[in-house]
Amino acid sequence: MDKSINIAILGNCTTEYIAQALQDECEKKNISAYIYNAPYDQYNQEILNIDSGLYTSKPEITILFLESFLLFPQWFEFTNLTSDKDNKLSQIQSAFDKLISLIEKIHANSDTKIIMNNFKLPYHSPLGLLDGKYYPGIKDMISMLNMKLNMWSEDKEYLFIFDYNGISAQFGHKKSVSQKMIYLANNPATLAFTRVLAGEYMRYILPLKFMSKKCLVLDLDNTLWGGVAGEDGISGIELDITGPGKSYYDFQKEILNLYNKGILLALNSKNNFDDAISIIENHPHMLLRPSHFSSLKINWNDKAKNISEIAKELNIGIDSIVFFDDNPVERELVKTLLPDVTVISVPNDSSKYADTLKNLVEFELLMITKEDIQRNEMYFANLKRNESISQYKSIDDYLASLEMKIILEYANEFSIPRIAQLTQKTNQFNMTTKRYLDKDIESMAKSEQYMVISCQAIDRLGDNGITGVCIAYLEGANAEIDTYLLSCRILGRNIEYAFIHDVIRRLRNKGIQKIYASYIRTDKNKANENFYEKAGFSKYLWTGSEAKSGLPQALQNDDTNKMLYCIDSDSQLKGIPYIEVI
Amino acid sequence: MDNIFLDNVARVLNVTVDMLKEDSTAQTIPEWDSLNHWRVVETLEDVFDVEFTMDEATEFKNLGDIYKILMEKVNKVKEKSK
Repeated sequence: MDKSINIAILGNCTTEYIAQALQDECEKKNISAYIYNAPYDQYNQEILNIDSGLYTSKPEITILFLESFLLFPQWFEFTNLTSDKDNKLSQIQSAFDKLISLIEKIHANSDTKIIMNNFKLPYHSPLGLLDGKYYPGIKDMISMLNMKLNMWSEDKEYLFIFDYNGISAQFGHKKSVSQKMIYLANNPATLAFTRVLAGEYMRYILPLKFMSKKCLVLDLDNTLWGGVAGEDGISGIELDITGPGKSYYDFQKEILNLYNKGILLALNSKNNFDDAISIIENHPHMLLRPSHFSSLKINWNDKAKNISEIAKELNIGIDSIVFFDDNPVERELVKTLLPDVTVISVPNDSSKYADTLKNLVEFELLMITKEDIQRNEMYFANLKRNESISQYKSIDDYLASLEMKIILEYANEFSIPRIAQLTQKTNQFNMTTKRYLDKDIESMAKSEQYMVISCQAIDRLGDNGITGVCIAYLEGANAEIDTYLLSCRILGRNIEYAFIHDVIRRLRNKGIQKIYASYIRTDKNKANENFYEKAGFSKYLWTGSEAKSGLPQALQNDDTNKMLYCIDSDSQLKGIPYIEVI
Repeated sequence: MDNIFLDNVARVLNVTVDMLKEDSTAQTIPEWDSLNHWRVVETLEDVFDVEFTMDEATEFKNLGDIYKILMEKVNKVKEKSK
């Protein structure tokens, strides 16, 4: 075995099983662990006696494992919880003082890293649901102690407070403990949970032995987005801020977290380089851009060869690479040809990707460099983040606080499929409910007679993407709004007014004098039937002689559900001051 | 005593299967200490998906006894699921 480590374990309960499980975990990673497991419940003696086995074993890591029900059993009594608040606060302080004096003692005698657990929050209190009414109840007493320990450990590099409560909660408090085993063997953890605990302690051991991984190598298709770039194209891949496509967005968010922590990213994908890069550069919902990747192996070569090259280029060991690829065949290839690479068993469901990354032990660090923090601080300063929920005096105040921006663009290759999709899906805020296919939008976009405009809505909280469409038909000095729709996602913010006003402005700039807009009433859109009037249009009253009056051919009074509106060149428009139009 | 039972017990006690007899106890097998004993109990519970009560767990006389009580529980579960 290449590496070895000295570990000491002290506790007020049976810790042998944890020691055994830890030995097994270390062996799996090719680490020889020399574990000194102190005699049962002798943690005080071992810490205070400078000749004890604890110190002579020269541990690099000392695990202090103390159970709350043995350390401060009196806290859990009804009479204690209904006693004076000051009494309880001083109990918390006294438990805290006792614990930190133990830690300080160890630190005075040894340069070992110390990992001490925090304490589990019980669900049941002797006070029942009134636990919060006799503040602090048992839950808050333990929370306070845990928080004091965290705060105290902040500036001590040698000390880590292990979130025992958290891992037990995640595993399931009910499954983590067996009262039977506590009574029979003073064993605080079930067989299965003991293995989980050992796995969690490896988070400290691996980075200590410089075994943290440095680079995450990622596939693209069905990994960073759903679908295949080469077949689905930029507009067909699944990557969105809502719905199933959000699974990929959230996965990218977690990858970005790793990037900001200092982990290198690389791509390893069988794709046409230009097609793939174009998506990474231009897709509105990509969080990762080409600049995030230190190496881009987008080619038709074998993926193991690509990884070897990545390692060489980045000057890192093959054994510091983690590989995430949805394709089991590719994973098997890499596992076989490069056994030192950590190949993640990717679940066959993208909704589990983000969690898979979060659970990894491989990228755990004992320290984050100053450079990474500084880089992140600059990034933060450029980004407006708002966590506070303020009180608004009026709706306009609230809307103004959203810092809305709409970007209007003529239809292009990327937006055409999305525009068509919106005409097919949108029902509520859709003035004419005309359904178009990609090719219809494409031919209208290419035609001089039509103006096809998409509306992308951005606000303080994020980018909603393309969520509005306007199609206008031009004939001489007249124009008709053939299609005007907004996704329900962005309704209620007056974006519909800002959008139409800019469309009117653009049409007027083109020399259009009269703009007609029809509204065809349906069950689904009838809530919005007064929109054009509210936007400044006037209702058009049919005279019966429309064909001769210069009204565009398209505007025939052919439908009892159809209402026609009109606005001419000198009508004033009510602006929406807090929405920026680009 | 069936193989799955014997294999698991042997693995936890770190002995070979042929060392395990019906009348084996912590006295006759040195590797069988109190720590291992509870591990045996928990492992059997996990593998056979049964639960020994606390009293049962303290009253086992020998390996054959453990096997007998384990099989009673396993058969009871089989009966229920029929």
